[in-house]
Amino acid sequence: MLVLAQALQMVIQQPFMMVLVLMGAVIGLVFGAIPGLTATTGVALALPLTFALNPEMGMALLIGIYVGGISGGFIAATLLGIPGTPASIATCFDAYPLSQQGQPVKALAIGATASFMGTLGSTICLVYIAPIIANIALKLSPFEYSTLMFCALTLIATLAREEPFRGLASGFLGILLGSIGIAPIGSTLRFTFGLVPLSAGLNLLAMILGIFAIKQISVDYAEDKPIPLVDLEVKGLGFRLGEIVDNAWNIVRSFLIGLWIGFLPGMGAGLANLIAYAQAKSSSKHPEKFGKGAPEGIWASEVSNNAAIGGAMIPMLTLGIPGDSVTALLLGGLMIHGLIPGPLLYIKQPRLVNSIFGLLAISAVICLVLCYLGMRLFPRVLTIPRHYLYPVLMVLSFVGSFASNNYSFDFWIMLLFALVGMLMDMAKMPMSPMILGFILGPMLEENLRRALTYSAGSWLPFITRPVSAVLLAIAVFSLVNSVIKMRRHQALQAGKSA
Amino acid sequence: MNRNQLTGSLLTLIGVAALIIAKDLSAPVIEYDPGPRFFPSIAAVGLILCGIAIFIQPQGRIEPFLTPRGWRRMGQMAALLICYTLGLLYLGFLIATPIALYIVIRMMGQPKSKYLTTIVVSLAVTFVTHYVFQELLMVLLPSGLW
Repeated sequence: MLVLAQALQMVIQQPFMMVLVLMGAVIGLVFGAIPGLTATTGVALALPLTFALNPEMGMALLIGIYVGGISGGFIAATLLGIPGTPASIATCFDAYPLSQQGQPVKALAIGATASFMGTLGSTICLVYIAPIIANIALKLSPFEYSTLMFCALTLIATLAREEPFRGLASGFLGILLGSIGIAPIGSTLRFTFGLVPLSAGLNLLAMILGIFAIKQISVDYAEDKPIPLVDLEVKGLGFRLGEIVDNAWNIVRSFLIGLWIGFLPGMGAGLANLIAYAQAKSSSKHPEKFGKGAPEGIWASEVSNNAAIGGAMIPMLTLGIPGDSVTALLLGGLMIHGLIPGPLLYIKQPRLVNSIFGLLAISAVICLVLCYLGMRLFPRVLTIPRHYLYPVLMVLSFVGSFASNNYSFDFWIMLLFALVGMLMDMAKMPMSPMILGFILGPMLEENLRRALTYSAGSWLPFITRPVSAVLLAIAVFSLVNSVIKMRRHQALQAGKSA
Repeated sequence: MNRNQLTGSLLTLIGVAALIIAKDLSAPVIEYDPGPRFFPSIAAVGLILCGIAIFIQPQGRIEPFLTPRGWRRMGQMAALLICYTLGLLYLGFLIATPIALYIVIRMMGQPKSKYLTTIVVSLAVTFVTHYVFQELLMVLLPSGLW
């Protein structure tokens, strides 16, 4: 722990750096909590401000925003059922129902603590095992990436256990939606129907704002249900300490998933939370409680999305490859100052590397403190009369869908997906497999096609390459396990109805 | 036609349409590449099979999604959302938003919302949002056709 302690000391001894990281964390939390604004937007907007600062001070502001932005997403997801960022999509599934059952403080407390664990744990991994993980990743080829994606895709079977065909259909629909736009490798336009804005594919943010925000506002208005009573009392941590022990394996597993997914280029917290959530459901003794306010789901989602932060920083610092969109911007921030991230950075700029470690850990602590300080304040949002709260959310959703691409076309995408979400609710089709399919589909396709091109059309390397074979075996095991559990669930249901 | 048959038919229809469109996509340009039609075709076939499976599933007891009054309210909301979108495109954020906010607050809050409070809230939310996004965060908002 000596390296991390030195790094922390280095940051704490510089008051201006502490002010910058605090400022960044506050900005990040606000960005994360507002639907439509993400950590990427926050870092992009703050990047020009760092030109006038030295690299360490600039990193303090940007890392604060990054950690705050990923952490803050759970606030809107918990209180409003709208993921503040794609990193908190799975948080919505259980944190919002728990909040609706009158326990928003508990849901927020779990979110804050889980986010802290994810960020701090991944920072420790970044400090001590980054080069080892980086070496493993360098050996991965499109074959391993394809089987890894396929492995993750089999989790759809887990998410769809109660209604297998509906869940699978939702997943296939997601894959089809993900194939809209320019196809990988050959750049062929697919399913765009002559609409230029569709060339870049569907905007994920507009989709989730439609599915989660606009649909929810419309259905709540149509149903005209009374506002649930909210418990605003904060006792101790906000949840039983024993819950951490009960969820120990769930936390460790979600952490490892987040770290690994964050580390792989092109993925990140947006995917990590969905996969960790599906795994938590798959391994739970009470999968039927998921989606109805199960704390396990919140632990899984929030630990994993924050673990992806440290994960994404590993390839950025060790190899100079960004793990996600925010680390790509951080990379740009370093390069503007003439610093080239990669193995040499550790030798040439040890002070900067150390301060990045310290800043990540300090940001995690600051976000935890800020979230706990706001714990009494945040749930008061739920006491605002709906006829004022919902119209404001509606406006923010429209602004959010427009802000990400500055395309007015995204308004229509958002409205279309509000309708799709409602139709899927009517048809009792789960939403999570569609989102997982939408995110994973394009990645699987690109890697699979690349792999087949490398192997001259042969599928054999998928089995003969050891890592790929292990991943395929895990995928098959996951599928068989899901089918067995599905059968058990159906038998149990049949027994109950008899 | 029950809800399962309707869902199954719709999914099968989407799958068939996707399959037909995918068939017309260009052939692969690189040797051994399965091409752009390969992956969507697999998803489309999967969707068709799931659609058929849902179609033939027995229909259990189902609750109506919304009451007739609920559907009327849903219609109002849908109309408002479409009008607001058109308003943003043609009139811009600063004109369309206070009007939409006024209507939706009155619609949702009757008889609790008062005229004056509604006007003040609509204008305040519009200008605060505009100031925060456009001035502070430099995030562009729709300006309409002006």
